[in-house]
Amino acid sequence: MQWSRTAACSLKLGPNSCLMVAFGVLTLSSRFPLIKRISDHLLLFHRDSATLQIFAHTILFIIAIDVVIASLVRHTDLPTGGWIFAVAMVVGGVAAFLLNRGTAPVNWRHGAVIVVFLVLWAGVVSTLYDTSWDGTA
Amino acid sequence: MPAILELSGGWNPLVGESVVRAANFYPHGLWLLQQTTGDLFGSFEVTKIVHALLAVIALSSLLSWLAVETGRALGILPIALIYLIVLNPVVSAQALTFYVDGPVYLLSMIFLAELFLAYRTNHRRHDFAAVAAGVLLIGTKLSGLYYAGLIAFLFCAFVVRRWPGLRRWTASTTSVALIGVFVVGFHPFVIQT
Repeated sequence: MQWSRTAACSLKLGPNSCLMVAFGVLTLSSRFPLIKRISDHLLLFHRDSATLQIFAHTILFIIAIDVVIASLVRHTDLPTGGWIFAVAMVVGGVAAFLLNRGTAPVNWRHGAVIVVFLVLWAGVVSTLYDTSWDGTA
Repeated sequence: MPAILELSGGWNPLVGESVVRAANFYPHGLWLLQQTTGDLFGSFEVTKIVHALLAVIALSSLLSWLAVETGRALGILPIALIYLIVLNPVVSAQALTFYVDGPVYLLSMIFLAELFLAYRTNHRRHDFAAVAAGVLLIGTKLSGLYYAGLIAFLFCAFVVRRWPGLRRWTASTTSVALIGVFVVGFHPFVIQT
């Protein structure tokens, strides 16, 4: 589909230059109240290391445990379906909780931002169904 | 993508050969992740989200590392710089594909940042995060094995003289090598050599 190819090309070329412009505008326009509020919220989000780390570790542990279980299962006669990822989500989630317990309070609003971003991104990648353009079909 | 579909269709790389010739010779850690998530959610397109997941982790690790190193709250310019590093042209260009170079770059950043965070903060969670990132890095691409070794060596050279936690670091990196090569990378690192 042509429109998805266009979107993909925009993604290829756009992000770095767009980011430069966006951060430049935020920095230079901080004298305007609304932009300053947006800028302050963005800064607070990125300075919230505790929440960022807890969410990052949770995702990292889940995908690493999934890969290890999926590899070990290949040595057995067990089925190799989606149950592995379901188990990894539980084990990785518990591991992340235990390892990060007591480190700092989590800002759930910031956590919600991360989850919403990832859900939206999952929607984008599953909607742009066209693998022909990248040569992997 | 054909290798992921092969795995989903029942191909076991330990005992059988894939009709996708290249798949017989490359590490398939990331493919296994995409196969299991694809099977669970019923769509292999959605498994491309692995790029975004790793980008979120890399962003978090690098922001935390820089904040710890500088010892003060980050300004907008350092944050912009980290965004530019994370969303480098390779990562951006491959965000909607099944290519693995972007994940290799991101996992290298995560591995490096988590090693230094473990060193600076002395929190065990960063040890485990470094092991997880290292294992995934080795299982993603053959060059990941070289990058993991290089990063571990450079980090070791940096800290070896001044770190009381050297024994824990040795345990972490040895775990990466053992799990990455003999568990996740059993095929092709052990079988093919």
